[in-house]
Amino acid sequence: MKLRRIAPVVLLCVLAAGCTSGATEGSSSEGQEGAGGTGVEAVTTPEKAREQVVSSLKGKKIAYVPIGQQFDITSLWRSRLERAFEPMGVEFSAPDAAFDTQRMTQILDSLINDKVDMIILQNPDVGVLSEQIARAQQEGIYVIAVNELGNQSPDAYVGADHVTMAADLADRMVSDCQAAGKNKIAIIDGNGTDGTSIATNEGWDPVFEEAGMDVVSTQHSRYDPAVANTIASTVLQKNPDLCGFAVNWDVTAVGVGEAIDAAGLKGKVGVYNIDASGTWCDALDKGIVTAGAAYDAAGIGTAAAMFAQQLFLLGNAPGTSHTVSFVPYTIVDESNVGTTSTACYGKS
Amino acid sequence: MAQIETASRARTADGLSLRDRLAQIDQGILIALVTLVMVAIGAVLVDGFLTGDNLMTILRASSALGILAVGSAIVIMAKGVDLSVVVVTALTAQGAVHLWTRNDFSELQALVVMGMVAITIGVINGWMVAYVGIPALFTTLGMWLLVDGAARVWLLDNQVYILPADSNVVTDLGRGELFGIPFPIVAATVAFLAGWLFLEYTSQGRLIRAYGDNPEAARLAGIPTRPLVVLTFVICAGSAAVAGVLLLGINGSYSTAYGGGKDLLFNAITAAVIGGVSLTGGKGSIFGVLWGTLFIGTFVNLMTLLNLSVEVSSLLKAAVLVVALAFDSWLHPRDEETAKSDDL
Repeated sequence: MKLRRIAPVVLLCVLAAGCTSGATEGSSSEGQEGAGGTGVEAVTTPEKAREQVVSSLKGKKIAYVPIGQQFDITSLWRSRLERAFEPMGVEFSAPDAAFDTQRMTQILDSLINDKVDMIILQNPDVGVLSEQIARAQQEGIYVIAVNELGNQSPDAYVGADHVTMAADLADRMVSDCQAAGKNKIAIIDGNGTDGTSIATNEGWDPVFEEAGMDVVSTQHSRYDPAVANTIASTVLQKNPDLCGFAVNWDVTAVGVGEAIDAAGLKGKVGVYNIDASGTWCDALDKGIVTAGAAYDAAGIGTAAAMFAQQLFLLGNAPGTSHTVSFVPYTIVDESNVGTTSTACYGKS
Repeated sequence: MAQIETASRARTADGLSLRDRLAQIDQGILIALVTLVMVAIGAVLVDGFLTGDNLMTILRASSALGILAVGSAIVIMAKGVDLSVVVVTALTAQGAVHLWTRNDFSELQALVVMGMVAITIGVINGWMVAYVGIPALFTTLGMWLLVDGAARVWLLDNQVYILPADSNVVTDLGRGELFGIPFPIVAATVAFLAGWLFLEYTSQGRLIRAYGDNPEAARLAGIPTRPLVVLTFVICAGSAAVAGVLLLGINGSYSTAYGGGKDLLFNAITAAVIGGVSLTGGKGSIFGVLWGTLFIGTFVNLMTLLNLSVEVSSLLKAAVLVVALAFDSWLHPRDEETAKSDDL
């Protein structure tokens, strides 16, 4: 478990080392020439430092392109970015890809052609935006990725550490199952090829294997609670002695929880999932989900805005440095949900 | 070419070719046999498949699809197609929760309002097809995009709507029971019975088939064809609205993220077509649609029990649809009449 906790830090160090040693890597920096220099001076005043920050951001065009704008978490990030950028004189835009990957690539192509200064995006898949990210950086546009890390490294990534979260969640699930004298579990991930599906499977698969759990089913829900509900109903019929479901996303987990409830197995079969939005907290109140990994969703938006300020202030050419950072998380259940500030975001 | 024609029309002892004989059988019976064979294979190969609980799971999971398939089949029988059911299903479910939780409507009021919106969409679809003369495919595709866009701009503020904990009506519809039978199954049974009675025992139902079989002849016979076409789209929109509410109750939420709802449309059209509802119009039966729905429900259940992925399941379902369309085309070859009246 320690190794899993250390791994992201090591990865961050390796990438950071890569950025300093790879300063001449590929891309041009025409778009950002003279943007902000090399940060604030070693000896300065608060006023002067502030002026440098504001002048490095003023008039910059920053676009935020998540998978879809009408989502609790993506609108949370948007509001954080707006609040950080607007006082700094940034021209902020947030086009909606509306869960359409093709539309997303078109939006990115258009933003690159318009020569915006920075794109903050959420990868729908590990590979699909690789070309756009590389091209943006070559055109002198900074790229920050949020919560979904793809194959092409952005200038900065900030999000949840899905591998470690899934592993911790699996540990909790194994512990519950062993206490109940059960060993059958089922996995329901997202699309299978997206970053979080790959990372969560990477996180919980070894834990289940090590603990000798019997994984009776592994299915893709496509992040659709209706599909997850149908899968769960069927799996439960064949395995009424199931210990629980490991589910990639909280909204999908709600569909699974409803299936368990409908099968009359509420409280007997658990639902353990990544994420803990307000929607999930309502389901926890109803007793249809068991535990969730509540990561600092709002912190991702704030950290993305901080990275943006830092990139402009330091002024390194886009594509020459790549950094990865993870936000903290807590495994929550009914015992600690009320005291965990990162849980239940978006709940009115 | 002549040899191929001769082979395909090989005469049997009573003078009918194999194709002619198969064409005389209700395709619903064929798909019923295929489904029963699949059930038999599943019972032998898959542990836990042939149990009362699992069969009940199949029926419950297929209920919303069945209701939508009845509506879709009636439109297709009248030589139409309704792609906008995707948005009607979602809008009814999500819009009802939105009005109820954010606009101070009661649960029942919100459902009634969204039901009326669905019917209005059906009327507009039907009017555009029957009176303006725009092909159903383009009308309903346009309506899908138009309504989806309008709803996102003016009404809905999220891609995922969760059924509130204090829901009574929708929860009862999705999770309740009537005489020990899950309510979604009861609702689907009522929809199939109503569809069958409508098509077999009402003049409008019989006229819809006549229109689908030969629109020109129906018009010349003095049948008020345009109101009939509008009626088919209204029925389809109504069935989509009911399916949306049931899905909301069954799943406890409705999500349109990641293309939610398109599977439902595909499955509804597949259920109708493999059940024998011909895309040339006028042909098919609600009995066939019932077995088409059961085929898909059983198929998806078996795929899950065999731990095959949703993608493999979708691939095989698509293959089934293509084979069914080819079979339909072979059974009902295009001739001068169908070419003139056109099909989908």
